[in-house]
Amino acid sequence: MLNWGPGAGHPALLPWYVAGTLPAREARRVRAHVARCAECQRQVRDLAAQRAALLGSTRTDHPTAEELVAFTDSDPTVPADRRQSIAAHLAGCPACAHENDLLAEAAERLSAASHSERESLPPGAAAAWGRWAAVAAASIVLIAAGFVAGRTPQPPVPVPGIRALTAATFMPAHRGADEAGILTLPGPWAVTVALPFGAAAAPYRSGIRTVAGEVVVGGADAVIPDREGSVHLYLDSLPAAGEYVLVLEAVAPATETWRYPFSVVAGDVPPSGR
Amino acid sequence: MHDAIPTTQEVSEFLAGRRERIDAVRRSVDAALRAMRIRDADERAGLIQETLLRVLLSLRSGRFRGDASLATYAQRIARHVWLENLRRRREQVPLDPDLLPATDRWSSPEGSLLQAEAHRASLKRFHALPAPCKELLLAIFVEGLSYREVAVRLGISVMAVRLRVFRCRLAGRGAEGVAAPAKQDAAPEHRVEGDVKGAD
Repeated sequence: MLNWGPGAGHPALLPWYVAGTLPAREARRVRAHVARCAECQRQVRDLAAQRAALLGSTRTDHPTAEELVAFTDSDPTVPADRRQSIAAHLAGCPACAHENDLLAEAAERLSAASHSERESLPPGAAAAWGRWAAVAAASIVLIAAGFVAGRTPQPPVPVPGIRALTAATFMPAHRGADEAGILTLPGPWAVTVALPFGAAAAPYRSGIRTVAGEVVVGGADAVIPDREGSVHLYLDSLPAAGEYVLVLEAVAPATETWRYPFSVVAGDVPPSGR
Repeated sequence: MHDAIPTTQEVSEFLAGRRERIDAVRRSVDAALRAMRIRDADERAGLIQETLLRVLLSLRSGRFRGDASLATYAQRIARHVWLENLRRRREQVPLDPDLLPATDRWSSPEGSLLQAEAHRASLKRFHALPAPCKELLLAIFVEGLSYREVAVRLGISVMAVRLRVFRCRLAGRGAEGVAAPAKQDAAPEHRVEGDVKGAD
């Protein structure tokens, strides 16, 4: 019998080499060994065949990720015949069956975690948790931004010295934006600007210009994007309703510039929700 | 989430970019991804971003029916995103000529039949393996776990993982049966060196 295990001079990492999950340096070492070892070449071919069979690479009827999640959750929107065909597929496809097991185990873990979170609260507090959380959140927002209090939307409560802050999100075109953002007068506005995927993780200097390029607001301090690749800006006021462009310029060493066209409209026009 | 706020209000707050709502959804998504055992913070952060973007697009396009809380809906999307990411990673295995099937097998109906037969035989061998070996191969090939991640998952050392791989390989040879006996003319370095029982 052959030994390709530890101590025999053969890499014990062949399965990971075949799976493509070895770090580059180890992969190079294994590749060099395999190139001169007939036995390991055979093992690699066997493992590759095993992997292909496990992943069902000759099949084309794998349920999509969305379907499998819905199936695992026993979602009633999955038609009965589709449910049956997915169940039949799982019986013959180890990869999808394993994915299904992982999803089910994770759902149990998540449910247990939420349960223990509730259990850790004092008696009676669990039931009231949501109400208190809502009230606390609303209170904080009321103070900071004159927003909504309670369970139903209420008109902003004026707080002396603090003006109501309107939130808005600007998305770049290829992250789903199909129209320009809208800010409703009067300000101020808290604007979350999502940078395009792949944008430099550098500080950005922001400015507002008219469509013609005239600077309306500029000279702001540079801001650093958060971990989700968004920049958070506070815009105090804009001179008038009209069409503007928010410009984000990366501070050196990056030289990227991103432009977000938006409109400022007079009151009574509902916020864009974007 | 135990949110007493009506779903419609949650949605409008999320779409309006209200920080507290987005943070609440982000926390729910994070919990769902932790339950998927994604411990790497960077990977989790990437999946959270992708999930929030999908939630946003889904809400905008009106696909959310409102039959669950926004947090629950976002957690479901997080699981899609995780699964798609897992499948995508599997497809990105570096191309190695040693791993490629012979092209002539794909070029004819007979070749395809042989290929399908080989897959069936491989599956049969897989099902004949002991449960710990099946668990190991699924973790490596389906989940794409590194050997260190496998060690953490199984709660054993990296050396014990290697020994388990070795044993499973031996078990795999047993599953092949007498049809594929081990070669007897291998170089001395390929012979069994010692007993590894009880290593893990």
